[in-house]
Amino acid sequence: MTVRTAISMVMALAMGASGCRRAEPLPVFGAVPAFVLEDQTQQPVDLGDLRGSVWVATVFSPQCTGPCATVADHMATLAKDVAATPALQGVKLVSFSAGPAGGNAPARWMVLTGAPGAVPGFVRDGSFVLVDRQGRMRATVDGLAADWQERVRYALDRLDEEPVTDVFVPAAVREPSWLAARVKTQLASAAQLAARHDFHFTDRLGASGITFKLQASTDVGRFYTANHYDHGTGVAVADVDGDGRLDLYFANQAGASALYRNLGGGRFEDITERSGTRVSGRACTGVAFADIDNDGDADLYVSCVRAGNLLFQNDGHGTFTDITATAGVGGFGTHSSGVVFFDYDGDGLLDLFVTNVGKYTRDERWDDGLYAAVRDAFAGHLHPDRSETSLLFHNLGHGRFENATQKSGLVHTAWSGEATAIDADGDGRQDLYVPSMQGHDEFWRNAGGGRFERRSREVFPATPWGAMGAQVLDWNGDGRPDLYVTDMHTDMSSDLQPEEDAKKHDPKTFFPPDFLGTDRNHVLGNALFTSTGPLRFVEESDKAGVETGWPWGPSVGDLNADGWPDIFVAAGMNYPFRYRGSDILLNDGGRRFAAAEYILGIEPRRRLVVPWMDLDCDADVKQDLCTGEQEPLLAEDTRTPEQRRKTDPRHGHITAWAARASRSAVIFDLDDDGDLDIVTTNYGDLPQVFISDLSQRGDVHFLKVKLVGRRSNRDGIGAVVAVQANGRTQTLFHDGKTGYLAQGVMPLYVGLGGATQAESIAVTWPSGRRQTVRGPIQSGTVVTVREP
Amino acid sequence: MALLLSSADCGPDLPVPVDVVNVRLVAQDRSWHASYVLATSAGHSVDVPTGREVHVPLGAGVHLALSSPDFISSFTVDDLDLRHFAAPDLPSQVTFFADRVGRHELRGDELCGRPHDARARGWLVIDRPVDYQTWVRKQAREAR
Repeated sequence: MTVRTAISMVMALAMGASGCRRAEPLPVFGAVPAFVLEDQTQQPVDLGDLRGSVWVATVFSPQCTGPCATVADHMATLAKDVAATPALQGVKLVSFSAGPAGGNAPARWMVLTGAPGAVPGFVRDGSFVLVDRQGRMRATVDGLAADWQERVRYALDRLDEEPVTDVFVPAAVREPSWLAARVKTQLASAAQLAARHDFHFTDRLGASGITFKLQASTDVGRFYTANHYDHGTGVAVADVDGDGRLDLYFANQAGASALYRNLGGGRFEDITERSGTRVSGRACTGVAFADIDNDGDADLYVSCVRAGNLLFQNDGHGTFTDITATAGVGGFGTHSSGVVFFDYDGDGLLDLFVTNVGKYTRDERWDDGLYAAVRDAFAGHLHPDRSETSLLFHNLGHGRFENATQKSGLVHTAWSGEATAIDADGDGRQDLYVPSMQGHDEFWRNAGGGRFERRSREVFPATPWGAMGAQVLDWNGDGRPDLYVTDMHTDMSSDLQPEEDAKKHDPKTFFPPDFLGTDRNHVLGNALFTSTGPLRFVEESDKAGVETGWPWGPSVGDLNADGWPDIFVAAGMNYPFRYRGSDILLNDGGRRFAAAEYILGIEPRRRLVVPWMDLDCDADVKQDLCTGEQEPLLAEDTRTPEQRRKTDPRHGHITAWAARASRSAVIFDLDDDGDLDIVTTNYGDLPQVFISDLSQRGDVHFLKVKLVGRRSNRDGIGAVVAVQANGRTQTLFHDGKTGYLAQGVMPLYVGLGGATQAESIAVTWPSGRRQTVRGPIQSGTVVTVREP
Repeated sequence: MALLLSSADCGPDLPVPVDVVNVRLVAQDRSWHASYVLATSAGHSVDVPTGREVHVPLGAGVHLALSSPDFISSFTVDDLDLRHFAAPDLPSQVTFFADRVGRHELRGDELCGRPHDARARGWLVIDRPVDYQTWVRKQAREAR
């Protein structure tokens, strides 16, 4: 049945039934197609925002005349009716517009617009479409009819009479009492914040044209079980087609991956299909762009769980060929995760290290095609038979790799989802720091000759126990590579309370000692290892103020362009945990970091919860929401289990909602306006596209430094870049690491603070060559440094 | 040593003082399931389930055999500073000396799982020996 036929049927029914005392339920004639748009306040709005509400849809346009204008007038009338009628309090009004509406619409009336082609076409000009709480079209009304008001009201009343879908939003998620207080405190602290903070981020997802959704696995998304699927997926950046703009690739879990071409101005187009990079039917995790064949374009590697990893070779124009088989980098059916391209043997070709987490799935598969997780996945480290050796692939050139894991001595078996390259001993060779999410982190020193030696405990006697992400940066400006490691799993050792989530955990509340499986010498949270010399580090996370709650991975960039690297930490947990947003840590001149996520508009999100799962309680009988165990998040609930069991089982349809939470992030100048923007992935959810207005607020001084290696790998991965400006030297370590589960190819962004020019740029290439570009180099310049 | 159950009809004949108590504690379906193995005088052993309550007499050494067939469960009694865990194929034993009378909350969170400190709550009760004997007799009677 076409929509049009359905529309006429519904109209007939609505009119015929209007005089009846006892009306039939309105028919269902299809689901509203998914959309991602933004409202008149530039806030992202997607179909999920409207779940749980009855809503009325119309179309609108900036040049609204004829039927459009009439219906717009009617909507204004309807907005007043809704506001004045108690029975209609929950009704929302939505107009889909081809362009920004401008002006102020009444509170309940959202005017949604977005990228070309993003506005759904299910509403005809001149009509109202009425949508029920589950996002289903239930009636349409001719907006030009004289009795439009009566008809709309008739349909709204019918929808209102329907048994309310039991929309389940745990109170601790819906109205976190701590959040308002925290926002207030941080905003008040802004006066004392020395680091520049007079700018703002706005999530412009709705205008970006990005509709990618990170689909959670059935295990986590439906039958919440604790396992490593909930670690999510990465987002990576590179200019895939050589047009000078940085494009985005999102890895996915239960859905398909997506490649978005940057069109400029904050807009993107989906080129997944034509680029040949679509990956689906397997749970993927890590993603990396890197030039594996030194031909000047960004190739793509995606790691996945059991079903094989993939290497795509770029033809330079953004069309990719799957060369996994010939390259020999598909993995071995392991639970792959972190992806690091680095040149460990100095031959000018980027090698590849892939972490394998360990066996956390069994052989059964869910309907989504993904392997079901074991119930005790997070005890995997206590079962030696479940460990998997991570993979080191040596690049042989010509798109071929050899498995050098055993030969190199880098036989890493810890439960690791990530890794990062670091030259910790200053010998010019890239070592590896490999966080372990269930045990001690490992440090593999590159001994030269293609060999690694394990020097973990000697160099890092105490590490986090539950480390998730890691990032190298020179946070204190002394030119040495420091290392920031985020620890998620330690925060899972207890019911993390809001007031404690930026504190280290008291050992008494930490895991039972025997669960650790280590010598128990740990940093009980995030670690900031400040380098004090070759292989010497001091742990300064508390001193520097970088302890955070439920962190996944860090991304580093000079967000305020003051010449000091800042940190974004993608953070939070989803169902059934409480809300806990991401962090921004502004670097206060290398002295310490200050939290600024609320000051800068990153948090709190406008909506803290999203629909997480739809349950049919007559079928999903094992779900605790259905069996009568309810509201699992209420920590203040003092009822005993016996009392809780007395809750009547639920029947019928329940929509359970969950806190929103991020996983991976990348910091880059998305719209080429000279400041750094942030794109995140969010588990089971849409991404965020945070656009900074720093450059709109006055002069921003910066350089972008692009490296082109010749003897070294073409991306210059492993180079150290020292920029002299403002009477000091900034040191950037070009490792390609852009965030949790991701690596990218993009210029280094160098904030110059108050300086309008830099005096010099000194590059130490992986080949060992040193090169200095002498200035003055004017702010705003994109400097391409080619290795001689 | 196991407790002795003197006959099927008259309830357990308890040796006094009881110096060691063995309790099996299973975390399953997000709940605790405690049981005592009582030996009858006829040489049989009887498994006596006691739900979420564990009672031990003052002065006893206590061995709690923890197991969890379906998820990773922590075992925490804050009052007594006890912290342990069990997971499938990873049973464990908690040993402590019952040195003060009291009723202590026993928590069993799913490690790395959902936060539910109100969910799998039980009680570890250290009784005066006479009260303990009364309780055991009652349990043994009800178990039959």
